Amino acid sequence: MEKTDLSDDITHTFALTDQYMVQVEEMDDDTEQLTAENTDDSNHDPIDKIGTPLREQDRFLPIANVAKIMKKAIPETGKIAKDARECVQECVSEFISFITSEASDRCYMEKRKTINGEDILYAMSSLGFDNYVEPLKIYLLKYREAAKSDKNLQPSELSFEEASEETYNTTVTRNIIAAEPGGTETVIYTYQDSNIHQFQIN
Amino acid sequence: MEEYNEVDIEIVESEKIATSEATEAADKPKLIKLPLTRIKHIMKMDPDCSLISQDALFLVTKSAEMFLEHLAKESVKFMGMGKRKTVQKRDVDAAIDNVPSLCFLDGALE
Repeated sequence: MEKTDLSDDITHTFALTDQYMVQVEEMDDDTEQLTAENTDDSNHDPIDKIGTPLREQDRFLPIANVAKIMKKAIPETGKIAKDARECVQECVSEFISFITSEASDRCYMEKRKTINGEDILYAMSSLGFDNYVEPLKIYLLKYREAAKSDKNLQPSELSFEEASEETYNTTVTRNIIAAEPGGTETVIYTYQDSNIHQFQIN
Repeated sequence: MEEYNEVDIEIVESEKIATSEATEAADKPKLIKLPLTRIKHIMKMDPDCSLISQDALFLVTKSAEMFLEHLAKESVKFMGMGKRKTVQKRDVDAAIDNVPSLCFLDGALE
């Protein structure tokens, strides 16, 4: 589903000759339909500070995603009991809250309102997840590259303290254009992330 | 007799590059496997948490994935000792009790 969305964006972008059109699409998972705001909740549900009713399952990550990731970590022949899955599901939410709490404490102490990447990495380190920090930094660079090529604009929210000139250039050169010489038709192949797009010009 | 002129070879070559890159790309795993919105929601449950940068949200998501794998792997170790093939809740509990970095979960679960 993601691929179709991306190709729609690209087609739209290329269809306009002079204008540089920007498609801003959330990196968020659009399949997340079950938000608190969309559901028809009864009045006695607990309401959080923004006034949207909270449901029990909203506190946790989807069990299917949890199970999939767990499966990667266990041997091929292994299985996971239902109560184990649910337990891990709760644990991950606890982990998220744990990290968030530590990061927001730091933010508060430094009189900042926005939790940024640095705060998260610092929290990881101080809570005994130091071994996560280096891989996370690499993932973050990849994420920024992907975000830049998808959005085609300078992401203002992203902090640039770690991004280098090199990273940006790598993104730009990733669009490989192969043009077929000769003939009345010119076909251009562009490669962007996981999609290959073919455009016919005249 | 088939004749290959220069132009044809060029076209084939460029197609090859495009295809191999596409296959390579298709084999690449997705960068994010968990829903960002839900994670943001969980983070926002903390009353002290106000605004979250996009970087921070990504890092929390990715670290949650890493944590999931980590917890599962530790639990498997305890399952292995019992020579079972199914990871059960008691294996997860054992991991929480024995692994230092997982101690924060002790007593946090209902």
